[in-house]
Order: sequence, then structure tokens, then C-alpha cells
Amino acid sequence: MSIEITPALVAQIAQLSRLDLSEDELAEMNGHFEKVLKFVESLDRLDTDDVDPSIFVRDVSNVMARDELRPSLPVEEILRNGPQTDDGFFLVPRIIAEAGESA
Amino acid sequence: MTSPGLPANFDSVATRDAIRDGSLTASDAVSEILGRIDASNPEISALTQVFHDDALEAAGAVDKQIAAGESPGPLAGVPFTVKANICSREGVTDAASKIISEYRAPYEATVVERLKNAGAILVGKTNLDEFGMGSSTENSALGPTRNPWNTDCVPGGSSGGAAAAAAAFGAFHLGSDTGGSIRQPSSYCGVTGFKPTYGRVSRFGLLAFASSLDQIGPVARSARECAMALDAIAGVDAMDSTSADLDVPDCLGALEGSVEGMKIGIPKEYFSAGIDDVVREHVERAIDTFRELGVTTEEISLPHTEYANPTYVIISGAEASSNLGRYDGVHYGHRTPAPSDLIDMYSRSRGEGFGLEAKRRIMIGTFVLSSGYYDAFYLKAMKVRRLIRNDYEEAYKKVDAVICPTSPVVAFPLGSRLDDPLKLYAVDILTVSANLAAIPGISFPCGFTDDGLPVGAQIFGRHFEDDRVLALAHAFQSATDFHTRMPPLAGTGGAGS
Repeated sequence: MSIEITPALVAQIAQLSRLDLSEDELAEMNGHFEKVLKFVESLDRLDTDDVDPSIFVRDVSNVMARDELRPSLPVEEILRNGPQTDDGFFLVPRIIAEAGESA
Repeated sequence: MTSPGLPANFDSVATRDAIRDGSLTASDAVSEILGRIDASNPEISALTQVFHDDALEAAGAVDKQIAAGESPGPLAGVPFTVKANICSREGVTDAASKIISEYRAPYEATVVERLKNAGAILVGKTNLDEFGMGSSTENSALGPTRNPWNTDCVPGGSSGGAAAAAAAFGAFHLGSDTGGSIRQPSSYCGVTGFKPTYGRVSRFGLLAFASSLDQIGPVARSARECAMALDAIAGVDAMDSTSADLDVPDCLGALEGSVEGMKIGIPKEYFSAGIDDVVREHVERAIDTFRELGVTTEEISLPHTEYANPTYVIISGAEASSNLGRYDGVHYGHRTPAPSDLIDMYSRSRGEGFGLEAKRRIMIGTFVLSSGYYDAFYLKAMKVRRLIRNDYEEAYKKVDAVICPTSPVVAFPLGSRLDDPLKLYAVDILTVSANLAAIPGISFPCGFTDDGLPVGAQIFGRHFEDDRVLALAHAFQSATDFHTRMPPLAGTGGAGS
């Protein structure tokens, strides 16, 4: 598969990755993508039309958890790592606009 | 000054036995290793956290239990460390990343819990390439670890801290291995590192890099110590549904069984161009040693070997891009100041918090999973992964195990491969297939270069034949002394002290 790596493609992948990258980093990624595509192009030589993908490495079926009550971790210990918390909640920037505001 | 009863090389099995027979207290064992760490760690930065007070307190409790005639567990008083991507109640679990530099785990990894329940004492946490992404321990937000055999060289990675600690201080250390991260640094540091079969050891509490490849395992000077550590951490865990619900063999006990009559395969692809002559020569000599031990050998072929590394780059990147999605500035870790909205908060927090190599892996992973490219890259790689597994299944019809070098090169100078990440990926070429095929693999020292740098040999086994892999390495170590040599560092009892 021949793919041209363009700044627009790299920027789109950065956006999908939720990574705010500097101009230098974007340029570096451009070069990195080109190298990695070259590194993996040998796979194209293999005919894999009739090969089953290896999705899980062992042949096991679903593993069910026991249906039993267990205490959860203490809320305050979980919140201790939160960058911004208030009254038992994690605080995040507003997601939904108030009536009359544009989001 | 070494305590009476303490083995000079701080062998974990001998330490356990000395505490058991009363010739050594847990407190003396822990004081001794803390002393060694305090003396030499500043030179090599193998540990990024040392828990002096917690460790001495835990050791004191073990000594009290022993004095009261209680049983403090099979590993009572034996010190250990964990890689800093493994959750512990002590210290921070930062994975050597700026994005979670302050993360205090609210729970403990199953492996840590099991070792503590066995009476072992956690003395610190070791350095790594951020989230396990790297082969030199230079991609650490806390600075690089140095190789105890030559401090101008890298220790390998990503469990470079664990391998350097085993070489410099003795004792045993838990690392994690996604594409060679236990075995390759063990090779560079002249110690023994074991990646168990996928599913043998619970991954609960290991910060995930690539969930279908990651496995926790021990690093120590000898295979015997690795077997003892594995016995304590192996087995099914309700908190990890990928852990195998199978009986766990007594690996330490199985070491004494004879390896005579076992057959090991020599895969021609692993001895071809690109392997340094000095590495090939020492591994070939190791194969001769096995023959002298009554092991038979046969040349075999693993025809998809050349495709393993490209397959690994795609699959590990894809899984990393998904696993690292959790570092978003909401529940833990770095959050950018004054974000304009939610998306801006995610993107800037992640852009500021992740190091360059983590960003590269996330970007490649997102790309190979994205619409339009999924079939050509990710699906293709999963199919080739099947072919690589099939290679081993075919080989194991003829042989019990496979032997090859661990890395095509020995430890290289710091900074020498940083400019080109693909050059760094190339040193994983001999280790990644074990992760893709989910088989056990061990690296053990089999010689030294003229410059005094260690060379590692590697043995793979069949799924869940971890005990046989360890037994083969142990048989080699019973006939050789490479694993007993100590690097020239201050405070280690080595040549320089």
C-alpha cells in the first residue's frame, strides 16, 4: 500500500490522538512516519488472504467475574490523584453550554 | 562491610536460606542492600526511589515474627524492587513519565501483594524507558540509567533499572517485557532475566503498554533466583482475566531435574547477517556447553523471523495508543493550566506530559487503527502474528526449546542510537517474537567482550513450560560462572571495591 505522508495527514493523526504537538514535533513525526512505513512495508510481501488474524494469543473463551459484592476503593484515595476535584467529584472544563450561551 | 551470613553476591536464594536458618536477620539483609544502593546507585541511577524507612520497618516486623516462632512466609526478609510501572503502596508509580510523575497508586499490583504476603521486602523502584517504550532506558523523564559494567554505556531497556540493579547490588527485581524489555537489558548488564509465558503472571497493577504482549517477570544474577521469584508471583488472578487458570509448576524444585536428552533448536535466521561476531561466537560456545551437558541440538527454521519486528511495531503501537488514552488530565496526572475547553485540555495535557517516544508510539498506533489504514496495517500485522506463532508451533514439534542471541549487539554508548528511533528498534529484533508468540523466554550471560561488556544468550520454550526454560538456563549456570561475575562498582564487593 503506497501512502504519501503529508503534514495534513500527520496533523490529523495528532488531532485524533489528542496530542497538541509543536511545529518541530509535527515535522519530526512526518519523518518518523516515513521511516516506519518503510520499516513495515516488507509485510506486503506476505500473502495473508487465508490467514486468521491472531486476536487473542491463547485459546480461551470468556472469563466471567464472580458475581459477588466487594468493597470499592476508598473515594478519597482515588480523588487524591485527581488534578482538580471538588466534593467527591472530578472537575473538568464545562462541556455543555448554559442556555443562551454558545458552547 | 558484609553481614555475617550474607552471601557476597547477595544471591536471593542464599539470602532466604540464611534468614531461615537464623544466620542472618531480615533487618541485616535489608540494611545491607540499602547500604549497597546508597553507595553505588548515584553512579548508575538504577533505582529512582528507595524506601529506607518502609523497608526497615517491614524487615523488623519479619524479625519479630521469626522471634515469636511464627511463619513469616516463604520469602521472609528477602529484598526486592519493582520497575516503576508496577503499582505499589509505597512511593509513586510514575512509569518514568512526566504525565504521572506524582501518581500514588490506590491499590497494589498482584505481584507486589504476593511477594509481600510471602514475606519479601520492597526496597525501591527502578528506572525505565517511559511506559516501557525504549531499549536503552534513555527515554526516562528522570534521566538515564547507566550500565554498571561501563557507565558510558546504556543498560538496555526498558527494564534497564532492574537489570543494572541486579548487576550492581544482587537481589531480585521485577521488570516487565513487551518486546524484550526484561531480556535485552539483562543481556547488556550480564544478568539473568525471564519473561514468563503470557498469562503465567497477573498483569493487574502493571501500567499497560501493549496488553496482548506485556508480561511481568524477574531479573536477578541467576536463573535459580528467577525461579524462586516466579514461584512466588505466578498463577491465576481474579483481577486479570488473561491470567491462565492452570496449575503452576514448582520452578525452583524443577531446576534440579536433568536436562540430558532435551533437544534445542538453533534457528538459522537468528544467526544471520546483522549479528555482531562477538555475540555469535559466545552464543555458539554456549551451545557447545549445552551439548556437553547432554542436550541435543538441531538446526531449525523460523521462516517469518524477519517480519516479527515490523509486526511488533504495528501491534504494540496500536495497543499503546489505546492504553495511553487514559492519561487525559481528568482522573490523575498532569493537567494543563487554564484550558479553553475539554478537547484543548486533553490535547495540551497530553502534549505537555508525554515524552517524544511515547508520542511517536501513540501517533503510529492511532494511524494504523484509523479508518482507511486499519486493514493494511493492523489487520495485516495480526495475520502475520499468526504466521509467527505457527513457526514456533511447527518448531516445537521437533525440539523442546530454541536458543539464539538475545540482542545482535552488546551495550552501546549513551546517546549513540537516540538520533534515529528505527536504529533503536533494530536491537529488539531477536526478542519481539517471543511476545508475539506468547512463549516464555530467558536471557542469561554467556560471555564477555574484550572490553568487559557482557553477552547474553536467549532460550525460548513452549507455552507454559516456564520451568523447563529456567532449568536449561540453570544447567548452563551450573557448568559456567559468567553469572557470578560482578561489575567494577564501589560498594558491590566487585572488582573495583
